[in-house]
Amino acid sequence: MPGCVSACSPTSRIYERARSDVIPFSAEVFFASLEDYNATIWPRQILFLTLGLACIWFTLNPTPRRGQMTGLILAAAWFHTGVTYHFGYFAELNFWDYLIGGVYLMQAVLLLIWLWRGKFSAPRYSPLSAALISSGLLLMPLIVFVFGRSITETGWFGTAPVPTLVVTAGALVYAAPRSLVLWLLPALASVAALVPAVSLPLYEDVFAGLVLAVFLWLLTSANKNRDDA
Amino acid sequence: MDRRQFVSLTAAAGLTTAFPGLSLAAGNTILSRAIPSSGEHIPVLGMGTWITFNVGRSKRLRNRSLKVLETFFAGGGGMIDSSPMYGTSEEVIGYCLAKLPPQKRLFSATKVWTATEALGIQQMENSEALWNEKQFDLMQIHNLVDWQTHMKTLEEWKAAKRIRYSGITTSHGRRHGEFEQIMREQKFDFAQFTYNIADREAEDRLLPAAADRGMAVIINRPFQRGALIQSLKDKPLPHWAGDIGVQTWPQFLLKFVLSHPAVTCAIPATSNPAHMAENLTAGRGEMPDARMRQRMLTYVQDL
Repeated sequence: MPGCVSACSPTSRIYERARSDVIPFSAEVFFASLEDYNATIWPRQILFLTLGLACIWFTLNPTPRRGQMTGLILAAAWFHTGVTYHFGYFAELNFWDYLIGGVYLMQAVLLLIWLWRGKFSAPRYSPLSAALISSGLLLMPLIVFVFGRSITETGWFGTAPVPTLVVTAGALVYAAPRSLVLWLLPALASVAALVPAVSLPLYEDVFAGLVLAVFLWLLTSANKNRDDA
Repeated sequence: MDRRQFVSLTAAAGLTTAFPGLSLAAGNTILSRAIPSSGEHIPVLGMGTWITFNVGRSKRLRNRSLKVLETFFAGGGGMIDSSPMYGTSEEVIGYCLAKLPPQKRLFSATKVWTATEALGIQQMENSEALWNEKQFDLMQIHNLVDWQTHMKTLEEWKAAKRIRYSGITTSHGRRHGEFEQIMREQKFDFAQFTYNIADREAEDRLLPAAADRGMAVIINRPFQRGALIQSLKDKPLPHWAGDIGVQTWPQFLLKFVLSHPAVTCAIPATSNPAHMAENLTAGRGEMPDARMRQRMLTYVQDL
């Protein structure tokens, strides 16, 4: 039975089990829930969009304490995403969101610790930063039109995981490139974001793959620079 | 007739008025089987809720779930099976049941899925509140999680008539060795596990153990979560399918599962009312005998 062999082989059975254990809802339910979530938290999307635009401004202009401001905005975005998106909303659909929400809170705490230790004090100009932040802020949310969905069915920086990851990637490149610890949890969160992106599938979240690739490349190059030093 | 044609026909005719399979079988009740520990009969087709009823807060999707449940009861279904692990499924079941008149045939089944006695009790009481059920018909220990602890609680609840039956579950072929040992050594009324035409591991140990021990058997994933229907939908049904009242692949797959003598009921899950109606037709009419079951298996293996 050729069709059944592919559907029921031990490998596909393990994959299917892992997939259904990790994502216990359909894409239709995900988008309906995202729409409801966006309506519930409105207009916080605008607040975080403004904060994200400020990050781009800090990237391109030598403003006093811009590194610290960027770090603070990122901490707020991770905290808010963990508390409202994961704990407050999606955990009722999927118990794994309690774990992922915990990762977001830990990253918020780490960012605050790094701020307190002065690790965001020497930002450097990076066009990659501005590009990544812009794509996370605007391109990602707007790309849903390409896939025939409404603007209400998309995630935004500071209120949903994947745009927050993309903006964080861009901001960390510029504000704290050598703080490797700050990359670890976003890398883990990117892997977590890839699972629904591939299995539901959520095409715009393929950006999570790009983010992960950027993280890995940055980790490698940062390590190399440190070795050189 | 394939699933798509069946669904198109039923959808075109209107969900509540003209499911061809259901109306044709109006005088033909769904088959039932006895729970060995009590002799009580339950319909051979129940309903799973993993993924399909986890629809969150969306009114539109909750009302679609309500249609599924209406179709289920109208077609003679009985058992609804859920778990606290299934996200909002229990809440959605409660939402739907509150909108329907009381259902005599409802056989409420859920699970306890946590560690420690205190958390288990808290979780079961939470399930009662979500379903608005004062007494669950069946409480099962989900995937053997802390089963020794919960077994004692279930015995106490049964004695106090807070539940009517107790059970244990597994799925996807997990921990069959340990599961069989528990079936053979402990006293549960029900065992729930995966069995379908492509995943017949349960035939070796679990189904014989249930028959030996006089346990009722609930079969989950009879379609391998839709994968079997997907892989077979473009293949022709055998010309002899009509001999066992089969017109579609889902009916074929369900009849294969239900015709195993140790199986009490199967719980296919769907979020589509028309698919529910189609599934229920498999619980009517003639069931394949041992020779026909072998013929069905050989046919599918040769495809």
